[in-house]
Amino acid sequence: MRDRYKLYLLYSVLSKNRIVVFGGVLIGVLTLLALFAPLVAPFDPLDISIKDALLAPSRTHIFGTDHLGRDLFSRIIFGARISLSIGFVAVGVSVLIGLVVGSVAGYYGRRVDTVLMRLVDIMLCFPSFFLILAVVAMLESSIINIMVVIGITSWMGVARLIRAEILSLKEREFILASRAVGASDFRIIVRHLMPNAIAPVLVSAVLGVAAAVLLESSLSFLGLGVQPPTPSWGNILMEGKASLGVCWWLMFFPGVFILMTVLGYNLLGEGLREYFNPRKRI
Amino acid sequence: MLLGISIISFCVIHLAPGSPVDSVTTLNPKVSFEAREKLIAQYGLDKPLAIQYLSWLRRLATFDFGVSYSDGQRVINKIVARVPITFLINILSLFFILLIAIPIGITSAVREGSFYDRSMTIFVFIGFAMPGFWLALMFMSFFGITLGWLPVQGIISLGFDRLSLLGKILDIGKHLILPVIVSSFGSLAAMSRYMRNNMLEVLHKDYIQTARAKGLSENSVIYKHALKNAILPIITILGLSVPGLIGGSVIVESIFGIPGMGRLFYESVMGRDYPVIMAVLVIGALLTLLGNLLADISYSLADPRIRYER
Repeated sequence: MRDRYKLYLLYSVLSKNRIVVFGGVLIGVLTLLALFAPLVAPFDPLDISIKDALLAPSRTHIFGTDHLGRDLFSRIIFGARISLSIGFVAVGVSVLIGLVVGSVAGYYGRRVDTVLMRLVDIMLCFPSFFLILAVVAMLESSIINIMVVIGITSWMGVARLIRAEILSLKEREFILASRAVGASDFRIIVRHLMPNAIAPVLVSAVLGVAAAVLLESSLSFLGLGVQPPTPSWGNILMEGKASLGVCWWLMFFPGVFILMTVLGYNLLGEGLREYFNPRKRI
Repeated sequence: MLLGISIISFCVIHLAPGSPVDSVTTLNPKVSFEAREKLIAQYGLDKPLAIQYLSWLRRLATFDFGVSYSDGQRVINKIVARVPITFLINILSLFFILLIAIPIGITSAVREGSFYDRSMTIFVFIGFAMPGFWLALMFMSFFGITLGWLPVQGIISLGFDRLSLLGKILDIGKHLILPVIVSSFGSLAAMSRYMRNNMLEVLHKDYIQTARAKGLSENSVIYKHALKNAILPIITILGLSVPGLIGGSVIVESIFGIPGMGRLFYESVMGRDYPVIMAVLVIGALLTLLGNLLADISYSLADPRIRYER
């Protein structure tokens, strides 16, 4: 019964929000393209053939070719793998840190709370792009490093969300009850508090993927992210910058893909927010 | 708070592998081992981190950020030379954001669900998703190269010195159009969305119904009663958007070749110029704090219901 109600709710939210469906479809298509990149891509993304350099879009090269004659469409599809996985892992890292910090702060309160939340305030003070840029430049700019760095500079929102939820939950009877039967703190936090706080976290994680994809592309564009020849949307743009104003396709298509991805995740995130909003659930 | 900021920026920079001495020595293989050691000692890099931090902090208190590793100039001079242009761009962007976002927010809230409102919603989502650097490149190639209307690099033209005062202002203005548009685009979308939601919330309040029931004209209801209440939270958001704007200036300034703080930061990151990186990080964080403080103060000035206890 409850499942059916949920399905109905989902359906009614979806049919009212065609924009959200559009977002979901965008994400779906892009994810599929990335997953099946080797099957979809007509050429090897690393295959250089100078005689085909800077060809305009045509039937063989639907997005044209870059300055080394590599097929742009294939590069973008393979770049999607890199860019999307950086987005996912970075968000995973940030949600993990946020969950731990937020629930510890919210559950234990007092000193622990003050110290951890002060840390959050301090982290929020830094123009995050400055901080990321500094760290990425210091470390070697490998894909793993970028994922971790984006993650550890963007967990503050999740931490605050979780803390607020737990603060309001921990005085409720069911927590008292589980404490009375002798559940450990860890068990109470993980089994009883977190599941109740998961909705807002899910929303912010979905929105976070969008932000992380944007960040990664900005970093790679500045030459501090994924290093060529491995294609990512940002460094395809960076390489295309040299032919600005001459070969429009080199700039246009990668940007459109970034735009579509970010748009898709933002729309989905907004839709989920609406779905979880208790005030609309009557 | 300030201490925390300085500790974090110091740790971040110093725990990372790679030293500035490398960038000096690898470029020049003739530098001997002794010279290398001497350089390390000169910069104090051989001392324990805590000592390095304390001596950095002591100098920080007097705004002495040390000397740049790359060219031996005083860091504070380098930064002061770069700040005005970044400041100018960000102030102009904020102004531009308010000027456009607030009317968009109001009008789409008033006509909720209309075609106009829905197209604005779409615009907002696209604006939100737009990668700033991509927009910059698109504008550059369209307005700068294809149409040739606007300059795409730097902030002044060749022969700037020969221009009259008015000519100089116009010249800088022309160079700033694209950077300002690009740096305000994302926040513009967010802000107009925010304004719309505020306005919607206020419009559903009882006192608006009262105002209508009194027989006030619709204009007076919207612009006098609703607007005042809806616009207040915008102040806070403006304060919060400061770090984003400052961070965004790295991208905007490096694309448009503007010699501001963002570009300075980019250059020093590339050259591992610790003193400059730390100074910019600290100053960026300070500016953010300042932005929040200003927002709080103006909020309490604007809203008589909120007064801080003495």
